[in-house]
Amino acid sequence: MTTTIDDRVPVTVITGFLGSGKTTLVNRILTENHGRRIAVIENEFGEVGIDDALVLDAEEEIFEMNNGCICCTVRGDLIRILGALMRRRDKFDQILIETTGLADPAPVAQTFFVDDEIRDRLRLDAIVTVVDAAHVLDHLNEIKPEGVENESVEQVAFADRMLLNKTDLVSEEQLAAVENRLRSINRGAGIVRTQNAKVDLAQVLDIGAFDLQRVLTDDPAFLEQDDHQHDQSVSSVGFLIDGDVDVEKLNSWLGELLASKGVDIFRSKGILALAGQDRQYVFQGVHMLFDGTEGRPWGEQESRTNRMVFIGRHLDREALEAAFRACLVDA
Amino acid sequence: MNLVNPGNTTAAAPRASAAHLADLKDVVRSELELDTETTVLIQQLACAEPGCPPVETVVAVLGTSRRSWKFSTPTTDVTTAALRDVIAKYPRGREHDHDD
Repeated sequence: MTTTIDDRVPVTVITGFLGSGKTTLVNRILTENHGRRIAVIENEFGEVGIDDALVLDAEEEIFEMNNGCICCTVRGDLIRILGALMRRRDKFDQILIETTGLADPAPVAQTFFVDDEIRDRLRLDAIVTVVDAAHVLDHLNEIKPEGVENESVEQVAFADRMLLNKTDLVSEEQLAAVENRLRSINRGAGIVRTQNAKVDLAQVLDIGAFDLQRVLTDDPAFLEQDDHQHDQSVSSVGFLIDGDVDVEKLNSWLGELLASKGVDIFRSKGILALAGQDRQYVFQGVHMLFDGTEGRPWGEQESRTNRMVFIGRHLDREALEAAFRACLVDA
Repeated sequence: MNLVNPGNTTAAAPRASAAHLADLKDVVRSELELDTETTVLIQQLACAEPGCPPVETVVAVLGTSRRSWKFSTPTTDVTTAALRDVIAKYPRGREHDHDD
């Protein structure tokens, strides 16, 4: 069996609401003796000045490729800084981006999909969202004026992993309630309980969380049917469907879906069995931007099961599943 | 291999090759005499939001002198000559590739 070696630089994005413990986590990552050389890009001036660490300050440059459309918005500052960093590629092993507490994670994530040079050289490893156990429910439940996004909901929705921090400040019942709420928004992201952002760095760095295969290995129940939600809240929908996929039908459906619903679909991930292909096709998307590559070969005894996950607003499980089934060769 | 390309709703909008993108970026850099530190972005978009054409190509220079040019065509159809002409005519950027 041949294995594709991905030698792109892994990038971890750390997000989280103000005061959740992001900077504590970054400082911990930079000071722990883990032997990795990490370049840090941060929005806010901090007192991070660690030997062997590159720390760059980024001033948010939101670039809307189409006026006002969040689907087409990237961070110009990140593209520029990442480009500058890659000219010093021999100085570090991975990159850490700390966003501000009010930053929208979408433009940060989308930045890794838009530029061919970035896509070729960097790999978005995971979006890690730090959550303040004592205050997150207030933030999540806050009613915003029409047209204004609730940043904390988006930060949870975009997460590949959540650090439920400051667990010492709340009761076990409150923790359970917070975890239920977080899972109702984003069922796929693993939750790690922490105090003072103290976490095994293997849970945060180079975890391949954008790799759905690894997510499913860690949590086989990820795609299980959840309670049907058909309201305006942010939720996740995942399904497993056997059979070979017709590429043309899939292109047509996904193209139309992401173009028309890209604003509401925050994240999409999938492992697909394309007709006539011996290898899995692995894709991930952020809003309407999307990228995919060949994955590992299907096993001889392995069922060719397609796995799809969507996280977003107004998701209609039945409609998504029916539309996907219509893309099968036998449909 | 990029087998699935949802921007490719009509078979008329495949992704541009790396070589074509590099050629287009070279045109931007040479026409505007940009240094290598300046970021040039070329992205094909397929967006159904109001005001967005079905498929378009955005060419942008990011940074302090940010500017962009838009073509209502897939990136594969944006030629180096067309890009050079538009930049020469509108060096400060232009949001549309048609006359208003």
